[in-house]
Amino acid sequence: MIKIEGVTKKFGEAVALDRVTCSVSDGSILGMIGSNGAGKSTLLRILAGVYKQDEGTVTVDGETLWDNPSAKSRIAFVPDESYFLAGSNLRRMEQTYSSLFPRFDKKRFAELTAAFGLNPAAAINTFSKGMKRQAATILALATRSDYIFFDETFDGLDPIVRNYVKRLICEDVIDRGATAIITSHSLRELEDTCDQLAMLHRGGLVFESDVQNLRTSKFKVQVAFREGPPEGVFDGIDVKHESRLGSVFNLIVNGDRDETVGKLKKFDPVVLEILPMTLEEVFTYELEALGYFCDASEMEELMK
Amino acid sequence: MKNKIFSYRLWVEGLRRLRIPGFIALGFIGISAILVPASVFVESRLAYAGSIRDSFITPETATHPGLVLLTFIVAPAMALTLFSFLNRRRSSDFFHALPYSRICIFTSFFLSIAAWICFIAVSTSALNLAAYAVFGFKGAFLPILRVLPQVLIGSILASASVTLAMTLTGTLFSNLTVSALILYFPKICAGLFATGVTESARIVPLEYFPVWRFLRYNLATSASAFSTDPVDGKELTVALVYSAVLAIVYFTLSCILFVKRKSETAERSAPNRAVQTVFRIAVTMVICMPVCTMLLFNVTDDSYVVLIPVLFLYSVALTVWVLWELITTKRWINVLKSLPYLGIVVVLNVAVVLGMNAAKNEALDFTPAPEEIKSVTILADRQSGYYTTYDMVEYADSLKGDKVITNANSVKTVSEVLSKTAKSIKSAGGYSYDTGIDYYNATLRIESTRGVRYRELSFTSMQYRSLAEGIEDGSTGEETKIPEEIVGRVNVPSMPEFMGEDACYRILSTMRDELKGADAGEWRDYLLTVDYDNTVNVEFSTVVNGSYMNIRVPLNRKFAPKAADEFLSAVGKAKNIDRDYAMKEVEKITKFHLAYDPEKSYKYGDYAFTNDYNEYAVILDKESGQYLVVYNPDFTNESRKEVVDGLTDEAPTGEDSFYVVTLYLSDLETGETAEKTYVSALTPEAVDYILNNWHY
Repeated sequence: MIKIEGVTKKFGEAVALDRVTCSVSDGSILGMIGSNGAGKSTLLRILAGVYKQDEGTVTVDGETLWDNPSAKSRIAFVPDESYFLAGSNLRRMEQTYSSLFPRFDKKRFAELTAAFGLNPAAAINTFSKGMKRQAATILALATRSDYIFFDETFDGLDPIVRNYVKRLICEDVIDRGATAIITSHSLRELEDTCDQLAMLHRGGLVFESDVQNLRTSKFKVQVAFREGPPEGVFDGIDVKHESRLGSVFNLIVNGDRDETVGKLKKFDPVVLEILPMTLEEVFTYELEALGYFCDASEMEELMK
Repeated sequence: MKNKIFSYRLWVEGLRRLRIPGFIALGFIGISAILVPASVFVESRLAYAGSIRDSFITPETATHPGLVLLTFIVAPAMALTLFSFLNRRRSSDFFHALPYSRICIFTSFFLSIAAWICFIAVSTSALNLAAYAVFGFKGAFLPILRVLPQVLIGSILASASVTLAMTLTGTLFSNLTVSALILYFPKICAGLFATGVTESARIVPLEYFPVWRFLRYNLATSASAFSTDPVDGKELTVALVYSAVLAIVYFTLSCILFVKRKSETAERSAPNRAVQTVFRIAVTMVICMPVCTMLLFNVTDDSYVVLIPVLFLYSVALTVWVLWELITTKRWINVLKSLPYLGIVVVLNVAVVLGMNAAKNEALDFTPAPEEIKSVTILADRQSGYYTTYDMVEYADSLKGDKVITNANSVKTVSEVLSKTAKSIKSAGGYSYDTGIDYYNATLRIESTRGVRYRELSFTSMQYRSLAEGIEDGSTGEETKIPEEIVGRVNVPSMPEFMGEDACYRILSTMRDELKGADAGEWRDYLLTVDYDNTVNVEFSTVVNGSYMNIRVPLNRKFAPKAADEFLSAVGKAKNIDRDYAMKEVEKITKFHLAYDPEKSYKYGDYAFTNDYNEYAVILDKESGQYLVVYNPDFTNESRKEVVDGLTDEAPTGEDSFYVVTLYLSDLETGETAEKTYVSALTPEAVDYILNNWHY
């Protein structure tokens, strides 16, 4: 289990992470979204033992990560800009990884290389951006690590490869019980893959929740009454957001769907409709509720 | 996974990553290891065809010169290559994410460099030895064995210095500049400080200036450090130990800094502004140090004009300051922010000048009375060693070592000379100190109740003899005779090269045989006081206690008349000069010169300089109208002609019989000093004869 408690990281005067606290259960996939500069990569680097936090603690199964080979041996990190030896090809990288990572699985490396259709003898610097991402992913997955961190990994991959990579990650989680953290600045990239979602904004963790819970606990209600809303009609209902267009109320409600419908029906509404919410809408309303307001472009970027 | 400090896997990965520079270096140095013996072989066979000896051994410094590349290029390049991952964020992150402790990554990679260095040094040395053996040379083993530890320690020190710089910096430019600072800044500063003090105090020998003395032992920075000279055995040990300790210190510091280094330092010139300021000040001070030396001279002598160079160098220093900041941070705002710190540079400059002045005064205030002096030691010639390429030693010195004197008269002489010299320098602001031609310079270790100091003093010949008489080492002088085993070339450097090795060897053999019958004590006393710079010397190599020595001994008619004759014959033969005729002329000149009377003669033109800055003096004998030209043996033919033409034009009597020959001959006769060594005032007939027979 990964536990992050009150982690702060500064670069000079700039605060990259500000007292971030969250935890990731074993055998799950955490999707972390946030705009550029939100602190996603910094948090992953701290989790990979690359950076040392200025404050707080980070543990993996109770072990601290900084300069701890034992804990780091269970972690694979695919950064947003992958590193390959100058002039190397995949074979040379395989050689390097197998000498540096004790659990490196050469067979799996060969399988994945073949599956992705990459030429192991070709120089990596001749690869496209997407191919380099694939190569980095192959190498990371072949380390057979318990914890795998992907930083903006889907960026630059075509949809087919992206889905294949997602499938591989899910297989690792399901088959081996691995734990993965995937960062992205796009929620849509993560919503169909992750068990948990977290959002970082300007160095702070503003939101963290189980995806299933997010999808089921919030819903949209359209309701209208013959003679205006009766007094106390929404009492006992956790309304996260309310707007009105003529006599029609649009509500974002948090809670049990049937219970909410039952309460509203007592007031004999002329219109009562329950609409499903997209994850984007849930996120937007959650953030608004928390008082976090990104500017329009930021929000658009996050939700695309 | 255990928290190890060394990983075999990482070490192998380090070796693998160094394959390209490693094999390139191996190729270059390996080729030189074969080419040097081959070229020496070809040269020997061409130049000394028909030599009486079949095998040679070259001077040890030339045994395997390619190894020098290992310290000065290969080791730093390997460190730069292997630790270059620290300069890029992505590579830095990659290595810091590896499941190894930081100390393990550092030590394993550093040992990869060390392994490559050892492999290249040992394998190419073996190749070198084999090549020497194939070409028929013998005795290369000991010199290589002597050089090998110096190269290994020097190279590892160089690597440690570069890695230390790399753990502090994060760009290639800052890697290189800070490496240079770590390697050379202490040496440059201490050297300039010591030079400033010793030049102004005049009597403090530079090589014995406290800090400078140590810094020159740095085997990573001393190009001439790779000495195989056995007389430097003690110094070599000090250099090895000093460099090894420094390498360990740098390695440990690098290790600590590597562990503490933040991965985000990559692509930045320094981890923080404070360190950046330190680098900038250090770089600027390199330019300021010579200015401080100039200012010291200005303080001590108002007539010394330094304003323009001082202003120029300070402008350069300011430019360097600005450029450093601009190149490393690429922001003008940082340049502006850095300007207030120039105050530190100003303070450091003032401190350095005041420090040098204080050190100079302290040196000149050391004038102990005779009763305060416990002992005086005449130090053997240290001109062979770690700060000069000159590797020849005087045979007598090499065997006798340092001389301790406690004799009251000798001590009194030292006290008086020291006191008088210091007073003279103080009163004249350090510019009236003239050793003079007839003076003997000696480096002394003076142990007094006020501490131990090293001083370089000049003595008149009488004073020096008094000093030498105080030596009580029980030596008979037998040890100063020429040994039976002569190896390598024999050379008489003041002779024309075309005289040939065989002639030189015969002269040395004859001299050795003659010296067997000479009075050992007398020979020893002669060696003690002779000025080697003004004698004809025979140079050779021998083996003493299993070590090679390059030796020179003076050729002197009194002790070795047959060798002197052989020498003259060889010269005459080589220069196509009729020896009897030349001897008659020399006799005339010598007689004239010995009869030279300052009361009757005067110096014409006093001392003057030709265009090539060679010094000469012209002496005119009023009564005979004869001129003597005393000149530097390095004169070119053009210079000689210039002198002669000038004299002919200016000669008051219209006499045109001047010509210049090299009179090592007179030195052989008298064994005396330089002024009597190179003299000529030939008759017109002699000039004609020489002009017709002397082939340039």
